[in-house]
Amino acid sequence: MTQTDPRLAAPLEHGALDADVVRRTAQLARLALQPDEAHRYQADLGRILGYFQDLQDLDTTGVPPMVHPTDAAMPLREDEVRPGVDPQTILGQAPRAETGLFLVPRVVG
Amino acid sequence: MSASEAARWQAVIGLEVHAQLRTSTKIFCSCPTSFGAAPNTHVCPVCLGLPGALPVLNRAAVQLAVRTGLAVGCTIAPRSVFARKNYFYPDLPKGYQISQAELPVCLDGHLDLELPGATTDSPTLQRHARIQRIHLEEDAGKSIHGEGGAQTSAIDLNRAGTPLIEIVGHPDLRSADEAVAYLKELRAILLCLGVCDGNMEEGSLRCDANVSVHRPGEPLGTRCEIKNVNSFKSLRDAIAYEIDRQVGLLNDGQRVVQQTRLWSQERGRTEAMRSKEEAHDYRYFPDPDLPALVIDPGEVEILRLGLPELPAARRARLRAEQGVTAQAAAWLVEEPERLRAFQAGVQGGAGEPAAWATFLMTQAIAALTRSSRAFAEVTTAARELARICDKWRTGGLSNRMLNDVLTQGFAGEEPLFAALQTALTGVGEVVSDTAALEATVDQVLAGLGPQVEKYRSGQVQLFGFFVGQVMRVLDGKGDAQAVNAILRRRLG
Amino acid sequence: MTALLPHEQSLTACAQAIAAGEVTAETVTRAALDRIEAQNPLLNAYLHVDSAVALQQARAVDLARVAGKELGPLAGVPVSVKDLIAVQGMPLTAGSRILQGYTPPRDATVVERLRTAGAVLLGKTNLDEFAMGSSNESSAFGPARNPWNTQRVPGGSSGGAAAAVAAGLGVAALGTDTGGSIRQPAALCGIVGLKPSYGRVSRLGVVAYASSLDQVGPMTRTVRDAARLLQVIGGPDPGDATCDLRALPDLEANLDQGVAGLRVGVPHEFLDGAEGLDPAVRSRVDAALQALQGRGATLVPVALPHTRHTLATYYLIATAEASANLARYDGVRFGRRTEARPGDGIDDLYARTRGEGFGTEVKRRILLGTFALSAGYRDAWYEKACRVRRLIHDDFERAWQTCDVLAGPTSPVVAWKLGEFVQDPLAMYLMDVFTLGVNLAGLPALSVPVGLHPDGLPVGLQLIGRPFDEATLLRAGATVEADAGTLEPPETPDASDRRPA
Repeated sequence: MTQTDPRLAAPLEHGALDADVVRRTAQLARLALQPDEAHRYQADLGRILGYFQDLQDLDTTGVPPMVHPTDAAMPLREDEVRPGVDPQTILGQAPRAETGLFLVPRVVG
Repeated sequence: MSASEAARWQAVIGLEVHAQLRTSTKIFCSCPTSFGAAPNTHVCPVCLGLPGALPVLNRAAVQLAVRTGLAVGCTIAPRSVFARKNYFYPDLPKGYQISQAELPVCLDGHLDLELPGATTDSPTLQRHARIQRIHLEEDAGKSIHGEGGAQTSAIDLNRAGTPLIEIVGHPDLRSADEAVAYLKELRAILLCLGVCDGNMEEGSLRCDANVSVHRPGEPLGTRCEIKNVNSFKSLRDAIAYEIDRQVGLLNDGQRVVQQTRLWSQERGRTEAMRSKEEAHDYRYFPDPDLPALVIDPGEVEILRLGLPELPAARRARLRAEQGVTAQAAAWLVEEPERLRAFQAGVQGGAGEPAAWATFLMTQAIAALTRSSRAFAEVTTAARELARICDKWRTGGLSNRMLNDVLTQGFAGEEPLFAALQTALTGVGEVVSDTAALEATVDQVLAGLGPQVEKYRSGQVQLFGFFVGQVMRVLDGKGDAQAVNAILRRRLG
Repeated sequence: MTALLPHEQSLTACAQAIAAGEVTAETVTRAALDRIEAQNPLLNAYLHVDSAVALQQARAVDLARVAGKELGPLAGVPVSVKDLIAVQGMPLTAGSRILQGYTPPRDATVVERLRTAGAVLLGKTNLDEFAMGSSNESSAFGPARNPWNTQRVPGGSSGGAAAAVAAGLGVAALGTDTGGSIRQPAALCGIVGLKPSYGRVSRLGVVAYASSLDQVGPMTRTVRDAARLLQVIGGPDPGDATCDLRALPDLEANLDQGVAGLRVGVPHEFLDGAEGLDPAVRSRVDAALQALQGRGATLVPVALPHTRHTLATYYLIATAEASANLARYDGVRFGRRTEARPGDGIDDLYARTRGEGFGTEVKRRILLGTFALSAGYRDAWYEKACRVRRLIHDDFERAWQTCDVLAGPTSPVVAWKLGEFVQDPLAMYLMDVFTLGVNLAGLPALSVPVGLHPDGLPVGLQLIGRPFDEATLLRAGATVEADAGTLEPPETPDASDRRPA
């Protein structure tokens, strides 16, 4: 996308981010927000994205995205086993663990 | 529905196959990949997703992916990229899976499927199934749900980070049988390359099927993704069920809803997965911890040179050079151990490789299945089995004697090769002395006056009965051809 | 509190004094621990101090010296580690409640190298939660305070580290820099801060904020100290696939060679074209530039035309990466969990754990990053930012055709009052405008003190180098330092003398 209609780039209303978008985003990020928090983020994110809208005016046609600061190729590792960590050092500090397993509320498959 | 109604619909099937790679260590850390260890013992900061841990890619995993790509005619990407696929699940420690999205390591391959022809000896090339891509990714851990009715799930991360390749096929398959043939061929290739152990029960090889139906000439229908397919049988059953289900819906004027469905082998049907509160939004983006994977074309050529003879070529050669039937060739090439057993028998002096192959596929396997022995013993006893096959084939053993030898041999306590030798000695020799056989036949027929009368008045189907009676007297050891000949003379 | 002794004012001096037997490591360590005990209640620079282990390490150095064993380059020097970096045996908080109770099983690579060099590890310093902040106020454990004025912020996110070094609570510190988190607090606290080239220093064992931007670097009292510390912690690490394979050159060798002939680029956008630049900051920076010219450097006007887009680009990329990097804090394997209520599912456990465990700023950034990557918005935000990142990078590439280093202010303002911008995140983000581009382009950059503002607060000059040319950068920095002088540590009252108002 090179030239985006700013109104399409973020669903802003009176400078705040759309409440549904905030709710869906919080759900994706697994963040339980109190109602006052959600309001606050609606306003904050709306203001921040509003400020960032300038970016949409920049023509980036033909500019490849830059993901890494360098173009270096990835070094690879040899397929040799090395000692891991003693499971007890980790399981011992887990919020809930039993018989070598981490426990969570039952996950419906 | 009537057959003609069903025939108006064409199924369109594409498979996504996940294969665990046979490396010593995980894809992004140096933990061992071995199966069956105590829970959470093959773990380190990387595969536990601890703060500050960083992935480093395993060279062997890349090589196995490239070998697979070359074996199915893919182009190897000189530069490919790892991405993060974001979702929360307790067996996914980092909250994202490292996979390849836009730029996978292999692109554009194909499998030419040989489907059973009209006769067993005329396999005809029936389907050119294209492979869209092969990409590298990490496996998740295992969740054990509510054991003993508990309200908890337990997480074991030993499997987390096991290297996988995902082989994504185009929707080029048209029936459940074709899907099975595709998966079998792919599995044979993976085994032949040593890329994967192919064990579907343990989940080393997993398959999801995308199924839709449409009327030929019309746009493709809405597809459903079927998961939880862990054997060839369940793949065939699940696809057949799903095609019926979709055709049924459409014939009833209903629509197919795009969804993920789980195959239930017990209930014999696919079932919609509990719909999630939110649609998946994986938010893929390039993993900033991993620079681009650059594969040198020279290295690709070295890997290409190192490829073994692939299943299709091997089957062709078995047929052309050794006269093995198409069916037996396909069977032998399906599992490397079968081919090894076959070769051991040939080297051990099997007189006619084609007959030995068929013998191995039928009699030897039947005896093995009845016993508790492992296939590996068949390989070590291949010389004895080939000798038994030859003796039987040339009339040195009757069917009954063959059966006894195999049954006793496979049931014995000793190693199979020794048990077979003992059984072969014990079974004695076939009775082929003409005078002795004639005497027996005369004696048997003398006691069967009424039946002989009936035979002579036209009830020729009684011939088998006479053979059986003679053989019973001979304790199953009569030379079948000689007995037949004598009976024909006496009765004719 | 008594003034710092010469060997307490510099890492290199300290190492030399210990090696020469002029002072024992134990004495130096004890003095640092005493200062921490006296001043930390006020400064809140340290989140964790392990006196017993530190003294043990110091005694081991003293014994080794007496036994005539060869000492490492940092033998006996008491240093601190930002609490974003794993130290085996010390809790790791990342300034967050969500890591409560977590102690990492291994040292980060940089910590391993500190140990090998003989450094004494005093403890872990305060920071903005998950390094997300410019004032240290997002720390779950309360902000560190600026030793120059304890009503002021120390900067962030490595605010505890900067405050500690400025006040003499340890001779040097390791910080991390994702968008200025070493340089800006260094400037605000009047010390030297070096953000190395991306890939120069291993990130293994460092809690990730934004993986393509994060770097560990030295925070010290002198430029030579920064060179020495980078020499120890930098270089290839097979445990980090983004770590550069090239060995470090000798960073101290040419430190005193001066700047004759050096072309110093002065970006228009950082001075004349900068909005909100405090004129008094500007005048200190101008003076430093004049001094460089006086030493034979050539000042070259350059343009970084995409500077006005760095803020958006940085925050979109950094928060997108962070949204994934922070997904592992889910209450399953380590850290804090908010137990589900009866009938709750796993997703409730996640949402409650994360909703309660993360602070306001972290949640804000996770939301922003999640949004920037989400279906329907990804192209307009995340991907767009990645393209603009290339343009920002190319601005710098063009600048290198006419100059060897770039110079400008590190921060547009001096340390501000605690609480001043807490309700205005965007205003706080704008404080980072000069430092963000460096991280987007992966460049090395250094902040050096260039005197005091009329308010009595330090001003920092930022020097930016070519990729992997820390040596030239440090040489220019040493020249600036020679003119501007190091700042005397401020007279920080003991906690017992005065309490913060």
